Amino acid sequence: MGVALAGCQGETGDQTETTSGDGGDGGDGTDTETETPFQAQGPGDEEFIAGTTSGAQSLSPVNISDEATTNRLVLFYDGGSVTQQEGAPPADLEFEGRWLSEYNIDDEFQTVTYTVREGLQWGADYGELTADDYIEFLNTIVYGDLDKEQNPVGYTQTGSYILGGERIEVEKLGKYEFRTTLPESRPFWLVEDPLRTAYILPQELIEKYKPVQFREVNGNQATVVTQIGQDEAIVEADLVGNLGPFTFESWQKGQKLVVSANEDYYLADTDVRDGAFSDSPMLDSYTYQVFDEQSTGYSAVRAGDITSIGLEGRKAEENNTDQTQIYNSKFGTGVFYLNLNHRVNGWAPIRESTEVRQAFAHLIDKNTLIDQIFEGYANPAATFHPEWGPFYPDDLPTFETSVEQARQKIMSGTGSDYSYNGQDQLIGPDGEQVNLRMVIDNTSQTGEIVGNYIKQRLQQVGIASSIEGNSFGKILQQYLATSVANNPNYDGEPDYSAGGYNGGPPDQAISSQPWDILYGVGFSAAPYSPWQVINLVFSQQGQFNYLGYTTDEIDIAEQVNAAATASSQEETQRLLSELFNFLAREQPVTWLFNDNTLAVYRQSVDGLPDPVNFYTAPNSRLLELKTQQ
Amino acid sequence: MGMKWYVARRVAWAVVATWIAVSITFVLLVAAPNPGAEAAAQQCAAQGQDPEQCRENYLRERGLLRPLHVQYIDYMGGIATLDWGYSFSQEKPVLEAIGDAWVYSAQYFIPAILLSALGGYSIGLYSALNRYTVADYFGSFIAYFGISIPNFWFAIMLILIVGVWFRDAVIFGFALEPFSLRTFYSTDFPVFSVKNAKQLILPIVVLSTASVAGQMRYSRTQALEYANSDFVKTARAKGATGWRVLIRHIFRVALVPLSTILIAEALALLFAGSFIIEAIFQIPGLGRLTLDAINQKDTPLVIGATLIPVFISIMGNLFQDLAYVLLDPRIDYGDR
Repeated sequence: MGVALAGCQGETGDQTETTSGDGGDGGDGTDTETETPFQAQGPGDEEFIAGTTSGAQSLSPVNISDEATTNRLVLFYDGGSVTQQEGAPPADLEFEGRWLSEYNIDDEFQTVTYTVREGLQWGADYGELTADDYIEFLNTIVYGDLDKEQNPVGYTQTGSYILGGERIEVEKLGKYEFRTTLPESRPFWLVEDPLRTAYILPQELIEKYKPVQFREVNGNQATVVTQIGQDEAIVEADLVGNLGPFTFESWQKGQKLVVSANEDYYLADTDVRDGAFSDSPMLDSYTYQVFDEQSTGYSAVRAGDITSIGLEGRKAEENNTDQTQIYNSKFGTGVFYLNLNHRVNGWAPIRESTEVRQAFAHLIDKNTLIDQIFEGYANPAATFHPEWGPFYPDDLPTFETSVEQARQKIMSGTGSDYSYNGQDQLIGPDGEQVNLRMVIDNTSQTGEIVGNYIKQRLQQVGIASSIEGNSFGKILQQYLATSVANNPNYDGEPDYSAGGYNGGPPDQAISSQPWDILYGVGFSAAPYSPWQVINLVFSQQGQFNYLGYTTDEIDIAEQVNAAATASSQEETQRLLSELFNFLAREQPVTWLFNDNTLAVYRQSVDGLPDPVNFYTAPNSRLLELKTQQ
Repeated sequence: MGMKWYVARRVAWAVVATWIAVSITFVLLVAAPNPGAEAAAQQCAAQGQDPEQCRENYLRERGLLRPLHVQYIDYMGGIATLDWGYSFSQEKPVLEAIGDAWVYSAQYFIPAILLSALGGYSIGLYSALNRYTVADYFGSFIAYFGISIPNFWFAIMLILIVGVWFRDAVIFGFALEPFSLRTFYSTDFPVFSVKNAKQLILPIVVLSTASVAGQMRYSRTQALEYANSDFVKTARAKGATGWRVLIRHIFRVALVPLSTILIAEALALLFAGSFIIEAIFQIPGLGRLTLDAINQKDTPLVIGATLIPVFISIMGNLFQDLAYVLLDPRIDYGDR
């Protein structure tokens, strides 16, 4: 359930965490299907070659630091699965067996009983997968660094197993059964549970690295996770045995990964989904082909040299040809917004007045931006949750696009120090026209479009603005990293510090470069478990509250925690709806849009799921896809 | 003796210059922020773990927590003993990573250099001797086209036309599909195979176009400079054929300045062209390797990858200077 600070572009090369559904053009999703016989045109019509813009860093199940690595690992290891019936409410999820054949959580949402499927075999002579493997993984890898001064294990997902400051306890019930006890109630634990989807390791393999300590790897002292990453059973995914749909063939880092069908795949012999996987995997081979230049990937799919690639909205129409089909799902997880600087080196009315922030919402026509940037393949956002999400409130406040209303709110929000002159310019306390400093990520065209549009709209309410383009790295360094050391008017220690991106209260810690509006940095809204990301970005002491946003009206951290640990799913929904309503009214940032999940496939691909909900994305239905192979 | 002493001094200078270049690279890398360490720290922070500890582990595993002078001496010692260290971004020794990559670069780089030199000189000389003819105008057009057009745009256009459009285009009932080429480079084909040669056509064309233009313009200018010189007139008066005049008299003296251009063009291709070409055609060569290494701040690999073009450029200039002696007997380094 990690949250990654990321540019707003997202990873377009892969289709992870995204699903199917309607969307785009403000209307229904369009699944193009051909009725005429399709002639194979290139290797991408026969083998399945998935284009991607980012390569995996590792094939180690315990060293996942990026989305691309997760995408590769699902080819080898199954973990656990969640499904949703067509037409069911978004929060109504069901467990579907994989390595774990059964999963039961009690009515208090605090005790989970897991049953490991019998007959699962590790590769590399590590024997059968049993409950002992899960327990050893938890105790040694996940909890190995707790109570230690340094972190010799180096597992970065441990936080997902710590609730309210306490670890999840585990006990063995039998060879194939174990139970975990949560320190607090978690009504949506089925979605959150990291153990359900964890890529565990054989107990015997972990034993080889005990006691956990730094050891030399390639001439330097390395953590246990790095040591395991060098294990011969890991390097070429020999651990797979019968556990995953594919086996390793070759990997050229940064170029391509080739896997072939696992003839022994356990799922083919199960009755999961009434035996729907009896022929799985349908594909003889699967290749991930990396493209540094996305336009080459688009050309490759149109020519038939590859089978599919993730798609930017503005490229959808030109890639929708007789040879291709577009997968368009409104169930995207990205929420794009304009960051507003609430710290003392930003424009004061932004932090002082909700009305001024609401004026920005009146000023921006989200649909215009959606048309210009995504060719309609996105939906307006009103809060930090997509409209399709399980916690979306029914009664969100809306801000009609209107320059006049924006102007009125600016006037009433800025007070008597500000006024309009005869040329309709907003004059500040210094007697000069208000001039806002806008920062954009200039590595994408999206940033430029947004920047220019905002500049034009600000002009209409008499506010001048300057646009500065920067790389994502520089934006992090110069505008998001905050510290009291940057503030010449503050001497001493901050009242609190929550790390490099929230070095203290907004009147104490500031960024090294001043800014008012910033576009190009955002977070996944994590629709099914949004508590962590909300806490990190909007709570007073959130580690990524670089905005410096604070409010006396509501304790965001407390509200989020109450929602996550409520005694029922209904209570979680009530508390989160309330919070999302507050964020919509309060406008700590200016909400813009949620992008759709788009990908282009060759017409030769059969089995693309209908985009009906979050859990029916092509990558989660990989076992059902076919080419002309 | 004099010539040998000159060469020995130049080789010694090559070593010193390489050391300076590598040292500057090392300092720049030390001064630059480490995005990998920051990403590791962010990931831990998001998980409620101590970001400083994660950053420290990341740096420790790459040997970056050691004192700077220890790192520096270690790298320099390693380079001298041909132990160039381990690349963390490629997960293999640096020499192996470079060894794997150069094959892919050489496959398009060497043909592109040869093609641009042969093509450029040929067109240039022909244009010079046939001024203001259709052929001259066509040659000039090629030259200005090559110089004017950005490599990355030309590459993308060629992929679209030859790779995509040719697949199902039909002109006057004639299908262009047989002439279509792959849209990106595949590592599946043997180096010496027709399929591999075909998929290298577009990268070679793009890379050589810009270079052909440069060679052509310079060779034309040089040839024109000598075409009416006294020694050429004398040769003609003595009954030398046009071909002999061109090759033996004009081209030989023109080669001195042209060889300077050749080295400069070759290095420009190596440094700048390969990054663009390899990224667009997805060729896993030295350019992409270097770019990845810089992006991921893989110090041993950046230094290793820097070392090669630096050394090639220094040695290339040395060979160029030595070539002057062969091309023009009036040049002598004996007294230097």
